[in-house]
Parts: sequence; C-alpha cells; structure tokens
Amino acid sequence: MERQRIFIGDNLKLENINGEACYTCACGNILGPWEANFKEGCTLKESPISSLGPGYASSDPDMENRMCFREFFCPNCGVRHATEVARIGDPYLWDVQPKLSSGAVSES
Amino acid sequence: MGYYIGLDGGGTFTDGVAMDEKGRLYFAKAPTTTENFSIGMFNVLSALAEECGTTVENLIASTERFSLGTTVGTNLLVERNGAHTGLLATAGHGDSILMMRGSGRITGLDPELYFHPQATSKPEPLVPRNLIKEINERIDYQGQVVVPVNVEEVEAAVRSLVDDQGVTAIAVSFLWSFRNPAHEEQVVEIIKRIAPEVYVSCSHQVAPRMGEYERTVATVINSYIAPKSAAYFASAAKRLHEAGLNHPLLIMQVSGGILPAKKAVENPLTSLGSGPVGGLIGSAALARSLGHDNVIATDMGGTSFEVGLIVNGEPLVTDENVIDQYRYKLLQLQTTSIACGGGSLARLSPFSKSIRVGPASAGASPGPVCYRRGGTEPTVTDADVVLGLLSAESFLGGRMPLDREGARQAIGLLGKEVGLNPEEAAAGIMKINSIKAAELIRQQTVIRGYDPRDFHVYAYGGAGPLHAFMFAQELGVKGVVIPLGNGASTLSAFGCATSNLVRYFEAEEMFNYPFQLDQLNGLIAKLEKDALDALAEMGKAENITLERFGQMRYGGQWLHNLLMRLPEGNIGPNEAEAIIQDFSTTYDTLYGSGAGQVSQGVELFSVLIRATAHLHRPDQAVQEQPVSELADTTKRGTRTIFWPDQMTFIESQIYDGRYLRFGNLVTGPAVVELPHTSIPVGLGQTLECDAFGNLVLQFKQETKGLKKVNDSSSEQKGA
Amino acid sequence: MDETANIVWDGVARGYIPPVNLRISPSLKLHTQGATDVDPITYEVIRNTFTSINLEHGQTIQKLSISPITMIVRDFQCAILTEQGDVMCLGPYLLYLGNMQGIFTKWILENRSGDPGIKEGDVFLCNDPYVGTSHQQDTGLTCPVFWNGELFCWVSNSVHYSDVGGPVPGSFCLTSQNIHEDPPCFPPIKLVEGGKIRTDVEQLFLRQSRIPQTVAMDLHAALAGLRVAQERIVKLIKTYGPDIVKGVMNRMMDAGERAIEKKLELIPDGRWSERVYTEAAVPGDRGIYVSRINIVKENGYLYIDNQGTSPQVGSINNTFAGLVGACLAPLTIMLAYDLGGICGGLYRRIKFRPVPGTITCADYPAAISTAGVFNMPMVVATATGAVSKMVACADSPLREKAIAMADVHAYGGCIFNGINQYEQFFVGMSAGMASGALPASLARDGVDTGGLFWVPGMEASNVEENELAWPVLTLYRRENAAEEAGAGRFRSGLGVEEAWILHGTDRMDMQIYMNDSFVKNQGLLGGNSGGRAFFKVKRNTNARQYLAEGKLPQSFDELNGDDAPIFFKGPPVNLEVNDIWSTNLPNFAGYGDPLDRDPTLVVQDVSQGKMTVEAAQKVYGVVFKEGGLLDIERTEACRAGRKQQRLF
Repeated sequence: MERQRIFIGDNLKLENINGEACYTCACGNILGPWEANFKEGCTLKESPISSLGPGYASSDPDMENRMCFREFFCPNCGVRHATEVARIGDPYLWDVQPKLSSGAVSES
Repeated sequence: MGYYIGLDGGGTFTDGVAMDEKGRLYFAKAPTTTENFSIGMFNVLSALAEECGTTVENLIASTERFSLGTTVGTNLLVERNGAHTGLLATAGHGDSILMMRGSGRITGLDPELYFHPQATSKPEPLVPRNLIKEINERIDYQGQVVVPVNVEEVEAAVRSLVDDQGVTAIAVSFLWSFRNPAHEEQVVEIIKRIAPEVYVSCSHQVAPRMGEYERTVATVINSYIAPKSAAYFASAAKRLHEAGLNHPLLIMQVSGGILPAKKAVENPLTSLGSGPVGGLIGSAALARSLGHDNVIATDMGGTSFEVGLIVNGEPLVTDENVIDQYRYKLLQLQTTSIACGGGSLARLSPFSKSIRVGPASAGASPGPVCYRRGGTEPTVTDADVVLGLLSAESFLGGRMPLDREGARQAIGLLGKEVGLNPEEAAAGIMKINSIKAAELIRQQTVIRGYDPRDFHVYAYGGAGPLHAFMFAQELGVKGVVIPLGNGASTLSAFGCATSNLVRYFEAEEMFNYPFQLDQLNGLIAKLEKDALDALAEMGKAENITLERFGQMRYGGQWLHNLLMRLPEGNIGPNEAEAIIQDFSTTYDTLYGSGAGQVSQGVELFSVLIRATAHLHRPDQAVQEQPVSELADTTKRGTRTIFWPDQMTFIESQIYDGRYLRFGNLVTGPAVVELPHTSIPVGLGQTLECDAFGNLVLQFKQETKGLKKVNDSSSEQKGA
Repeated sequence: MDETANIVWDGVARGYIPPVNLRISPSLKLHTQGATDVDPITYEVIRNTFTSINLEHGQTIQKLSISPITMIVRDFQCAILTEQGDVMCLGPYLLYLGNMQGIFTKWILENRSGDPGIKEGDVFLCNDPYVGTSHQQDTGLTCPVFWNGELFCWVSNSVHYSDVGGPVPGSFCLTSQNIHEDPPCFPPIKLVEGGKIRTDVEQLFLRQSRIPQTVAMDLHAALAGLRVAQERIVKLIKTYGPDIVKGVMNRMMDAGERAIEKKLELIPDGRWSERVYTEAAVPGDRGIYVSRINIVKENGYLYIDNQGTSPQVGSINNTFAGLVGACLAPLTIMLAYDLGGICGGLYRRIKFRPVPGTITCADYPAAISTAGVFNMPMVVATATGAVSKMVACADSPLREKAIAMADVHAYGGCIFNGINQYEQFFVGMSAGMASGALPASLARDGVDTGGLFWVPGMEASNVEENELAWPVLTLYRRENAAEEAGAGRFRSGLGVEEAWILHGTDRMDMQIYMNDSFVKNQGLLGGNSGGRAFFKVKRNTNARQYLAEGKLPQSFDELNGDDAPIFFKGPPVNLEVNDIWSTNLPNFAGYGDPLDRDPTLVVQDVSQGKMTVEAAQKVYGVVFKEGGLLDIERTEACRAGRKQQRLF
C-alpha cells in the first residue's frame, strides 16, 4: 500500500516532498529525510531533569545528575516534537521510522 | 368496597394494580409524565377506576392502602439533577469519593470494555472538589478517638458551603464512624444548629459498613437525592389527600417492604432502584400461593433484563450496589440487570461473520424498525415480528400497528451478510438474546450453587413473556409462570400493593470463631430492640417477625461473604458450632468439597436483623371451578410462525389471552396474545391458566399432529 | 561472536521458546477435528459462553482468595487454551500473565506428555520462570480438559501468591545474584492427579512459605476456578458436540487474527523503539541499566526484539516468558481493545527475536524473583512506548488508541512486615497505590486515578481495610496535583500520594518500596514524562504532638524532623514510632507539546482545584485575567514567545 503522508504526532509527519520522503513540521519546515532520525533536524535542549519542576526532584542528586531531560524542537516554529529522559552521553533514541510504501526497512 | 392500590412509576409507563376486598385484581397502565408525575399517576388511577367500575374519587376515597414505587431517585442521580450537595470528610480523605478506588472508570461496565481505555471514563462527580471540606477529626479501627472534632473548623466549613456555595444538602462521612458514631453525630448537631434548613445525612446511619469509599458514596447519594425526593413524595401525598385518600402514602423500598412517605424521606437511598424489587416481591407473594419455593423472577423490558431469586420462599438479599459506576453497600433484595431487551440492536460482527445482539439498544427513540419511529437497525422486537410471534396488527390492542415489512427488510439485510434468510436471521437474533438472558440467570443461580432445575421462572415485563419459552428452556427449569396473565406487565405495581412494612437493622462488628457469645447476643438484642422501637414508632406492634442473619467468610476473605441465617433465642456454644458447620457446608456446596479451610478461621463480621410488620390484605380471589373447554372468544384463528427452536414455519393457533379461564389448556405451537404482551407456546409446550389467572408454561410434552408449512424461503439459504 | 549461541531455548538453560511443531508423545491423543460449517448463530452462542466461562473462572479466584494482591489488586490471570496450548482468550486481569500460560502449557505438552503423562483430572503446577512464569510468586496452574480420552483444550491460571519462600518475607529477593538465592522454582509438577489433590505436592509447595495458610486458601481458590471452567467446557461439548465446539474455537482464533490483520493494514510499515532506564542491580549498586523494545512492522506482521538492552545482572532480570507477556500487554490494549480478551489471533501476528543474556530475556541462573515489581512493569512500559509510537503513525481511528506510558516500576506498591496490632507476624502489601492513573492518549486526556490499563480490573483497598489489617494510620491519601509531571497537549491522569504513621506497634520493616533516583517514565511524542515515583520517610517528627493537639498532619513540610536518606534500593527501612512515611504514585506520561493544549482544559483543571494558576502559566503558558477568567490574547502571546525562546 502506498501512502502519501503519515501523521506521527500532532505537528510531525512524514510526507512526499518532490518525490522524496521527508519528516516535516506542521509549520512547513523540513526536518530531514526518511533515512535519518528526525531528531537530527531538531533544535535540542538538554537540561537537568529536576529543573523541570517539583514533580521530578530527586532525593539522590548524584544519580540524577547522570541523567538529563532532552527536548527536540522544530528549529523554525519552536514546537516540541519529542522528549527523552536519557543518560548523559547516550545517543538520541531513533524511535520513529515509518515508511510511505511497503518494503524492507533498513536496519538502524 | 375498600381497595389496596399499588403504583409503579417506571421510565416509560406508570403501572397500577388495585385489589378489592374480595381479592379481585384490576390492572391499568398509562404513560409516565416526567415533567409532572401526578398527571400520569391520576391517569392510571382513572383507568383503574374504570376497570373497577367506579369513579376515581370513589376509588381513592375507599382505598385502604396506597403504595408507590418510583424511579425518582434514579432519575435525579443519572440526570445529575439532585441537590447542590457538600461533603464533610476526615482530614486527608476528602479525595476518596473522587478517586473511586481507581476502579470507578470501569465499575459496573461490561467486562469487554475493560480492554478499551479510550472507551471508559469516570462518571461526573456527585460532589465536585470545591464542595468537599476536610475536618480535623480521627477515629481508629477500634473506635478510639485519635483526634477530636475541631468544632470551629466544622462551623466554618458549613457556613462556607451554605452561605458561599449555596448547598442545600450535606453529607458527613468520617473514617471508622460505623465503629464510633460520636463524631458524625456531633457534626450533624452543629449543622442542624447553624443551618437548620439544610438536609444532612451521615454515613453511620445511611450505610454503617466498613469501607470509607462505599460508605461515602451511599451518604452522598442519599443527601443528593433527598431534598427533591422529599418534595416529590410530599407533593404526591398532598395530591392524593386532596383527592380524598384517608391513609398515609407508602413508598416502596429496596428492602422489599414499604415505609410511610414521612419515614422514607429520612433515608431516600432505600427507595433508590425499588422498581425491580416490586416485581420480586410480587413474585414472592404469588409463589407462596402457588407453593413454589424456588423462583427465578425475570423482568424483560425494552432495554434491560432484570433477574432476582427467591430461594425457599425468600427473595435473596445483597449489599453490593452500583449506580452510574458508583458502588455502595446497602442491604436490599438482590436484582441483577444486563442490557438485553426488546430494543437490543442486532449487528454484524465483520471478522467472524456472525451476528451480535446488544448491548447497544435502540431505546425508546428511534426504537425498533417496526415501530416506524425512524429506527433503521434491526432489534430483538423486529425479530419477534418477523418470526410472527408478535402480531403486527394487534400490538397494544391494535392501537399501534407494526411495520412487519420494514422489520423483515432490515433483518434481511443483516441476514444476507451471514448467508441467512430473514426468518433464519430473526431466529438467530432471538436465540442469541435468549442465550444472554439464560447466561445471566446461570450466573445468578449455578455460580452461587443453585440448580436451575429446582426453580420456576416467572417471566414478566413487556418482553419477558415473549421470550420465556426460549430462555427458560435453555435452563431446564421446572416451568414458567406468566404471573397474573395480562397483569405480568404490571407486576411491580402488584408487588407494591402486597408489601409489608420492612426495616433492616445492621451492625458491622468482627467476631472471630470461637465467638465472644455475650457480645454477640448483646449486639443481636440491641439491634432487635432498635427494630421493634422503629416499628412501634410507625404504629406497628403486632404481627411482627424478627429474623437474624450474619455475614460470614473465612478469615481475610474481604471480597466474599455468605449471608447465613442465625438461630433464634440465646446463642450458646452449641448453636455457634452449628453456625460454623452450616457455613462450611454451604461454602463447600458452592465451591467444591474442601474448598474452604476451617483452619484459616471463620469470621462473622456483620449482624443483620430484618423486622417485618405483616399488614392485612385480602386473599387473592380464585376461580372455583376449572373449565377445560376454551371459550370461542379466545380463538383468533391461526398464523404461520417461524419457530426459532425448530427453525421452520409451522401453522400455529392464536388465542386471545384475556378470555382464558382456570383450567384452560393451550397446546403449542401457539401464541396467546394479551393487550400488553404475547406468550409464545412452543412445540411440545403447554400453557395452562390457573385459579389465580396465572399462565403456566410447561415443557417436555410429546409433539404430535403438527402441520408443517412448506418452507418456501429456505431456498434462499446459502445464497 | 555470541559465546552463548549454542545454548538452547529449552526452559532449563534459557527461557523456553515453544517450537511451531510441538514434540508431543504419541501416547497422548489430541482432539483436533473442528467443524468448518458452524452456523453463525451457534458460533455466537458458543463464543459468548467461552468468554463467560473464563470470566467465571476469574471471579471464582477473586472471591475465594484472601490475599489483597489477588482479590483486590487483580494480580492474576486466567485463560482458555487450545489443545496445542495456544491461548485463545484471557480475562480482564493482569495482562502480562496471559500468554505465559500458553508457554508453560506447551512446555508441559513437550516434556510431560510421555512421562509422567497428561491425563484426565490432572492439574500441573509451575513457578519456574525459565519454563514460563514472570517470577516465582506468580505460580501457574494448568488443567487439561479431556473428551472421550482425547485432550480437547486447557484451562489455566496464574496467581500471585504472597510468599513462596526464599530469604525475604514476600519472596522479592533484592540481593539475589542468581536464582539459587531466590525462592525455589518448581518446574511443572502434578498437583492434582485423577481429580484428587496430591497432598504431598501441595505440602511441598506450601512448606516453602512463611504464611502457608494464606497461600493454601489462595491455591484452593485457584483450583476452584479451574474446576468451574473445566466443568463448564465439558458441558459445552456435551451440548454441541466436540467438533462444533472445536470449530468455534478455530474460528475465534481466525476471526481474531483477521481483526488484527485489518488493524495492521492501518499501520504503515516501519520501525519503532523505546528506551527506559533503570538502576541498582542489587542494593548499593549505583549502576544504570537499559531496557529497549524495538518493533518492526512488515508485510502484516510485527517483529519484536529487545536489542540494546543491558546484559543480565544482579536481581533485575526476567525471562523470555516475561518479555513476551509484557510486550503483549500494550499490544492487547492498543490493537485488540475491541476483542473482549479473545486475543489468540493477535499472538499469531507477532514474532519475537529476543536477545538472550539480557535483563529482559535472561539465561539461567539469573535471579528473577523481583521481576513482579521491577522488571515486568518496566518492560510493559518500554513496550508501551514503542507500540504507542507505532500506533500513532496509523490511520484513524486506530491512531487515537495510542496511549502513553504508565508506571515503570510497580505502581508505587510497598511490601512490609512486622508484628501487627494483634501481636501476630504479618506481611503486608499495600494496594493503596493501585488507584493508578490512565496516561494521556492521542486524542484525549488520561483519567485521574483511573486505574492501570495493563491490570484492567485492579482497584485500591479502602484505608479502613488497611488499618484493620496492619498497624498503621493513614494521614492522607490524595490525588497529585496537575503540574509538569505528565503534562502535554493531552495530559496524564493524576496519580496519588498516601502518608502513614504507625498505630498499634512501635516498629515495622519496609522491605520493598519505590524511590526512583530519577524519573524513568518517557513522554509520548513531545509530551512531558511522568513524575518520579517516591517513597520518603521523615524521622523523629512531632506528628504525635500534632495529634495530641487535635491536628492531623497534612504535609511533610509542616512537621519538624529529619528527612531520612532513602536509596532506590536499600536494606529494609525500619519505621519507628515518631516516623511518618509516604508513597507516591506519580502522574504518568503526557502526549504532545503542553503549549498546544486547549487552554479551556487548563482553565477547567484550575477551577476544579487540580492545578494552580502559577502552574497553568509555567507549564501551559495559560494566562488568567482577574477573577480567574482565561485571557486568550495574552495566552497566545505567551505561548508564541515561549516557542521562540526555545530556539535560543
């Protein structure tokens, strides 16, 4: 089955732009090609988890300081497409890779 | 001539039954007028008067007892039209009613929905958070005061609720109040002092049982429905007195008894959902006359199917109730209901290519296709019409001709999807509906250790008599009674008319075996005295029976209990031993030999007293002489019916049930038509009219002399 | 190269993976003949009956058991399986316990059909995680149903038994480095033979427990459930004949598979992943570990692996059966939500490619006993993340079924023991946190204290029930505030906090508690992650003085005292007479950018007292006018400004 467009989040989709499958933001900004992690095309903000608010405060700061909160924003409009709680230094999780047409998926 | 009147105000119809001093019964029905109940009530009374051959003035003036069952409380709750209600809770525990133990999202819903998070939500709160005030007070599990009531805080909270928020009712529900009610009593006094016009109820009085969530729900609902229920009862009483009624209006209770309206308003929770209980009480009264010890009382209407059990002559009692996903504990006669009735929709299941029936219902609007009110999806009633069990011409005495062709087309479309012709599909719809009804009955009997083969089914309500020949046969019951014939559709009103004054008195207190006998006997004595005092207050001191029960379980079994009858007189060590024996025998009967482990310890955790003041009523009139010959007026000729149990067309006799007499016997295949319902008598079944006017359906007759009709439409099969 | 490549998935050295064709002794005759022409009405009647049989099985267990964890928390599951041990339907109870009953039943078919044989009236007991249980406490029973000497189908259940032995009360052995330090494992053994319970085997099982009477009651409840289900199925066969009933079973599996197939067509091919972190392999360990679930959807099938997961370590492991069960829980909720538990067809469309030797698919002899509170919910959460992102990519209406992550470590539960107010030894498991919360979905908010979606029937006990059983007084139990945790375009339901003080004793030991060092939950597609699950203790407080003065303490902050250092995983915490403690089940994950949330929903939360005006502005950029009215213009301006600030 051939799809022209796949909605991923409210503002994030995969669609055909000039014959190429690209991740795009609702504002029209292109975040990158299908073959890459869309997060690479986002603006990243990495902050201490507890800086988010009291519901995240830790009683063991040493452990908590090894972790971070990542936010991935559209570099054009600033909308947030993804978040991650991650160990500092770990790669971004490549977590979403739908395909417009059926067939083999490349191993990541 | 004096009359005994019972009225049951249902969602669609208000039903009335009058019994005269000779024990003759009269039935009437009129649409419920929701905006002003009195109109519908007087319409029924007029119709009843006509049946009795008198005027409505005369009827009311000569009424000896007037009992009323209503759905007013249920409507107030479901439509969220009750009082603006505040809640006072123990500090730190005001969220309990909002959290609903985490299961409020699914309580009372079809288990299939449990797998579907997006299809389930919590109900609208009965008391929003800003009307919940927490009070510094605390009692512990032993009833010891940990923190006394902070009086100033209570006063401030009540003033804020009443003056700022405008509440007209308050519920007070504190932790452990059923162990020690002092704090709740103290707070009620304060409220009465500073806001005497506000209705107040407290949890140890409404539902003195362990479990703060369920107790709070009961109390809040009670306060929520109280002011408008009271106004409703008062206005009904006033209208009736103006019309000449010389006796206090009595209100049907879920206990299975009645209470004077003035008493009923004190605790309106006990009137909530009393409709189905009326039918159960009516069944119990008839069962006594008929000598039936065990009865499965079934009420099938347009949207729901309700089941209650009578075992050894007594309706079963339960304490678990759910309304609008809120659960509470209140002792009442047990009725269980599922969405399964004439209006249940039949739909295609696309993946298995089969037909599903319900739980969705066409309701009153648009209703079944055959009602011609815009319904397009086929329902169980449409199937009845297609099969020919329900006459398109004589429905409601011919006042509402049904669209048989429309029903046949709708069912035909559905049937085509699964390769069945319209009659086969209709038969299938009826079978599936019957299986659901039979399954509910199974759950209520077999699962609790009762064998349906020891029971009679009583089938009433608009759709009950129509389907009994199928669902009852599934269960292999002794027989089916269509109680009071045409009166079957007004049985709840009959139950109201035949009820006694009943009060339950209950206390939750833990007794581990071996019981502290002094304490147990003392508790029983106190509850029995409370019960007698309460009846005396209502002017009843004679003809009273007191019955004792204990809620029992194995140690730690919080979700399980058996209600065991306790012996009369002083309970000594031997009686206590016998109680334990009785409990473990019952348990093993229910769950298999050796299921229980007496070494685990047995708990008696609640004592219950049922006090009944037996009221005078005439014995039901009987026809003295049986006649075997059917009057000509009963015969309406024949009709070709597709019988779902035989899956074939059979030329069947049609009878007018109004003219059946004691001793008349109808042999299936036949349909007995009544103004409000129809009774199919299947192949090999018989229907006999008894001396009370009940119609008794019997199975297991030999089939003979049948004329099969050519099944012309069966050629379509497999097309 | 993988040194363990030659280890076989036999349920001994490594978790058992059933082969497609089971090796069953020819001495066991299987009933396989199913009618293919069952009419649609009979089909529907029998299908309804199967569902109600399984429900009755579950209700029986629930009614007759006495452990709160079983009867209230619904930490059990029951199923009806085909003669080959394929799960056909399961109940609305703990979802991850469903499919593993198929796994251990298949193991029994392969390993017990010759010796000692599988016969009418047998019931096998199994709590060996390598054969197919989530951990030793979740002991399985499975009962073959025979017709005319042929094995027709199976009925089975898994129930959490409160203590099955081992070094620690409650049998969760945090310090175990291998399974020999765990409670004992029993590979499948006949508990019932020819319809009679084998008292020697029953005693063998009960002898391990600190609370044998409680476990005996629960075990008999589980047996009663099996008996009910078995008898009703035999009656069904008597009524309709074996071929018709089997024909319906086959069709139920096929219909379920077709329903799943249709849903899979709505999902594009692709690859989705989730990563969840955990910590502390044993008390004192400062390690951080990873759980990964990856899903590839291709040609109408789902391929699931756990590549990227940390190697097995300490006591934080589960076996293959746990991995499969945990992945199927969110798949059931998001793909089979309308099948009423008839999930057999779902399983046919999922292929597992597990990486062995990992914490989520451990090899023998890794320790497993704590999986019930640590690993299992963690894998459910990881799988939920991956499945929800996949389902979010689907066409409507399936996409709206994507639901964000719930708890990562078991619902804030805690396990404690001591001498109770009746001067008896007790082991308590708090179910108060079981109020749960429904996380955000793609098209609607979660539900506050709306239960756990992967344990659908679960409910919290009443405070009064706890206080009757244990020597405690609950100071407060209340919903959390709506704030950052779980925020999003659609927010999570709110969790719950409960604070306690001792009452009727002067000491208690807290064995298992949940005090995350860092947040472990992950937000869905731009949503905030859920909050941190915590357990906190304040020592030497003036709480009793408060009580004496007529006040109930309502927060930690208002009391004097010392905050006790509590690690995520430490030795038992001794609670003393002037201590207060609280457990918090945080709000779960939100979905989407909070700055996109409908401002009127924020206003509603504020007006219902669930959220402060300050939080509304901070988290959602919603600005109020005087008198609590929404200021739409300033809200829009505030949100636009915030989005710009994010880029600098």
